[in-house]
Amino acid sequence: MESALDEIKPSDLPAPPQAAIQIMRACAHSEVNNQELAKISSTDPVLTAELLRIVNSAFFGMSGEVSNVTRAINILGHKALRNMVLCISVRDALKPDDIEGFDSTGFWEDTLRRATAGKLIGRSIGLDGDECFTACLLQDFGLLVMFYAHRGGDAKWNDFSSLDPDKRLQREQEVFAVTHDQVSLMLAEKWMLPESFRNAIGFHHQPEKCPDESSMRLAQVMHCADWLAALFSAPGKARILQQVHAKLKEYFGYLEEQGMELLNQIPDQVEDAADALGLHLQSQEDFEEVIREANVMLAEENTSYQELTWQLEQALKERDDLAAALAQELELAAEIQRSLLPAKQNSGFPVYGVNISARELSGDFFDYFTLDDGSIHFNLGDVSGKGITASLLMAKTSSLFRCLGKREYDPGKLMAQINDEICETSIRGMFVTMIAGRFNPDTGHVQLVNAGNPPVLIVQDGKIKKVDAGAPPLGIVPGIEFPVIEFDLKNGHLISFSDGVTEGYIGKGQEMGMQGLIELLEKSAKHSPKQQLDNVLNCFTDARVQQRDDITILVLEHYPTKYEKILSYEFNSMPAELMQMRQQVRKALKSRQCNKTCIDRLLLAVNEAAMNIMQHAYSDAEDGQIKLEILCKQSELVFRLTDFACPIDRSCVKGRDLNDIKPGGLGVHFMHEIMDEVRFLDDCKNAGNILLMRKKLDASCLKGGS
Amino acid sequence: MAYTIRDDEGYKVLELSGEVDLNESPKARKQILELLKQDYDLLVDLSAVEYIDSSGVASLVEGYQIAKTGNLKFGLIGVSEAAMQVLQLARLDRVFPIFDSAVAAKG
Repeated sequence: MESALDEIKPSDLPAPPQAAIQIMRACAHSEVNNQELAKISSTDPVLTAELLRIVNSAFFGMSGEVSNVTRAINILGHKALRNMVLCISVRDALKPDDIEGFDSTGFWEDTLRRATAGKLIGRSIGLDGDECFTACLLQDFGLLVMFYAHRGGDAKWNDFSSLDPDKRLQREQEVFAVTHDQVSLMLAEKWMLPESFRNAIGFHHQPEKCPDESSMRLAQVMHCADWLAALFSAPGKARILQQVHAKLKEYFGYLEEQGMELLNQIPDQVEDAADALGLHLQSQEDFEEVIREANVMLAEENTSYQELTWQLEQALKERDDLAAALAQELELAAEIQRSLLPAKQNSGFPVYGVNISARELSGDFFDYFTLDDGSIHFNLGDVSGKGITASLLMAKTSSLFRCLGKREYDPGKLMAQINDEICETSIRGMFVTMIAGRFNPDTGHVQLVNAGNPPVLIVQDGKIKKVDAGAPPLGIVPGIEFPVIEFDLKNGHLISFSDGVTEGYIGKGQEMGMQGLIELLEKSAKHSPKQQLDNVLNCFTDARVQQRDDITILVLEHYPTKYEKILSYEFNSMPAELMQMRQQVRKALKSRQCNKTCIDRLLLAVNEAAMNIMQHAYSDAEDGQIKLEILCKQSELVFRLTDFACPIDRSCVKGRDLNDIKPGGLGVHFMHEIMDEVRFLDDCKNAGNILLMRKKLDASCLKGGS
Repeated sequence: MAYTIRDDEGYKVLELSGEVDLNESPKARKQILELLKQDYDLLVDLSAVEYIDSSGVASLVEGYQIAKTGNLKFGLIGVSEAAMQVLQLARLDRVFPIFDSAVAAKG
C-alpha cells in the first residue's frame, strides 16, 4: 500500500475547535490584547474550563491560583496560552480508536514522554520549556494522521510503535511513501503555527537543514526527545542510550552524567503532564530498570568491544611479527641470490656486470667463469615475472648454467641442455630469456646464443652493431637447437642487458628505449667501456621515478693485444751462466704473482731450453750468445729464446719415450710437459733459431692457487 | 752445488746440496760413479737440493743403472720437494727406490 503526501486530503487532517483556531490565529499577531483572547476563549466554555484546569495543574506550576481566563492569559502570556490550546486541540483532534490495533494509552505515554523530555532538554538550554513540550507533542502527530487517512488499510500500528526514530521513518517511507515529519508540517501549516515552530517540526529528523538558528535549536531538542522516548518503547536499549548520549553531546555539549540527570526526571514529569492534560496512563514502567538494563547491555557491548580491540591488537602484532619474519627471510634469500652472482674479479678481468634489483629479490642474473682452456663462459638472463617465484627459477637457471657449463663448452649445446632441464620441471607459463656464450679474451672471439633476450650490442671503432635473438626463450619448447652466432670483438666490447634497461625510467619518467641506449653509447664512444656502463647506470639513478624492473648489464671487453716485456736477458752459452739466468727469471715471474710451484716448473723448462741451445745449437761451444725475453699479456706468458748458431734440424728436437729409462732426452719432455706450446719460429731474420714457449696462467699457477 | 760423503747403516751416503744444474751435475755424476766403482751400496741424499735439472736427473739414472748391473743397492733418501717435482715430471718417482732415511732403506 502506497500513498504520497498529496493523497492526504485536507479533510483527513484533524480540525481543532473553532475557538482554538481563533486563539491560535490571534496569538500569531503580537498586537492582540488579552481581553480579546479571553473573549474568544469564552465562546467555548469547554475549552475555557480545560484551559483553567491545565493552568492550575502541577505540571504548569500554578496549582489553584488562576480562576479566570483573563488572569491566566495575563500570567502566562500569549505564547503559553497558544501552547495550551494546541495541547488540548491535539488531544481532542483525533479519534484514534478508529485505527485498528491502535493502543491509545501506549501512544499517549510515548507522546508525553517525548514532550516531557523535550521540555526538560529545552529548559536546560535556555529555551521556553512549554513551547518545547508543545512542539514535541505535535512532532509525531503526523503518524497518527497517516494511519487515520489510511484506516482500513494493511498498515499495523504495532509495526511502528516499537521502532526507534530512524527505523520508524524508514518504515513510514516504505509503507506510506511519506513520513510523519512531512505530515506534521502540513498540520502545523494548517493550524497556522509560527514559522520557527513549523520549521522545527518539518526538520526534527534532520535539524541541520533548518533555515535559521532558533528553529534549528528547537529541532535539535525534538530530535533528542524522540530518541529519549524511544529508550522506553524500542528494543536495543543499549544502542539507543548511546545515541541519546551522542546526540546530547553533539548538539548541546552534554556529558553522560548530565544526560542521565535529565533522563531521571522524565517519569515524574510524564505523570504530571498526563494529569494536567487529563489523560490516563498505565503505571509507568520502572524507569530505573530501563536505564539499568541499557547500561548493563552497553557494558557488555563495551566488553566485547574491548575483546575485539584486544583481538585486533593481537592480529596486528601477529601480522607485524610475520612481516618481520618474512622480511628476514627475504633478506636471507636476497643474500643467497647475491651469492649466485659472480665474485668480483680483478680490475683487469675482461668480463664484468651489474645487477640492480627493483625489489628485494631479482629475476635477473648474470654469471661468468673461466674454463680450463682460458676461455670464459658468460650469461645474462631474465626470468618472466617478479618476486619470489621468479627468483627461484633464476636460482635454478643460474645453477644449471654454472654446473653444466663447466663440462659443456659449446654454448649452443649448453643452452639446449639448460632448456630441456627447465622445460622438464618448470612451472607452466614461466620462461627465461637468456644470452649465453663463450669468450676467448686473447683472440676476442665470441660464440653467442641469444634465447629471446633483447639484442646484444657490439661496440667497435665507435660503431654499434645489434645481434638479435636467434632462438625462443628457455623453458617453452623442449628439444630444440640453439644457433650459435660467432664473431670477433677485435679490440671492441660487447654489452648485453635485460629488458629492464631499455624499459627503465630515466629523467622525468620516460623509458630509456633501445634507440636511447644506442644514442647514449654513441655519444660516449670515446669513453672506456666501464665509463660507458657508468653513464648508462647514472641515467637510472638520476631518474626522478622509482624503477619498476631489475636492471642488469654484462660487458665483455677485448683489450688491444699488447705484450709487456717483463725480462730481456742475454748470456753466453756457458753452463755456469745458467744459475744467474734462473735468478733473473725467478725475479721476473715473482712480479707476475706466480706461485712457487709454478715458478719452479717454468724455471726448469726455460733452463732446459737454454741447455739444449748450449749443447745442440752451439755444440757446447761457450762463446755463443743467447737472448731470453719474457713477454706477458694478461694471463699468458711467452718465453722467447734466440740463438745465433746455425739453424738446427728440428726433427731431432723431441722428447723421448719415458718408459725407456736412460740418462738423456728428458729436457724436451719437461718443456712440453710444463708449457702449453713449444715451437720454433719459422722466420728468424738475422738470428739462428728462435724458440717460443707459451704458458697460460690459470688459477693453479697464481698465488693462492695450488 | 756442494757434496759430502758419509757412512750410514752400511751404506755410503752422498749428500748433494744447492743447485744441481748442467754446470754442477758432472761433479755429482763423478762421485756417484766412483763410489759405485768401489762396490758401495749407495744412497744419494737429496734433502738439501734446491734445484735439479735434466742433467742432474741423468746422473742419478746412470747411477741407478750401473748399480743394477753390478748388483749393488742404489736409492734416494730425503728427497726435497723441488727434486721430487722434477722426478715426478720424468715419471722417475716410481723407478728409483726412495726412502726417508738410511735406516728406512736398511729396514
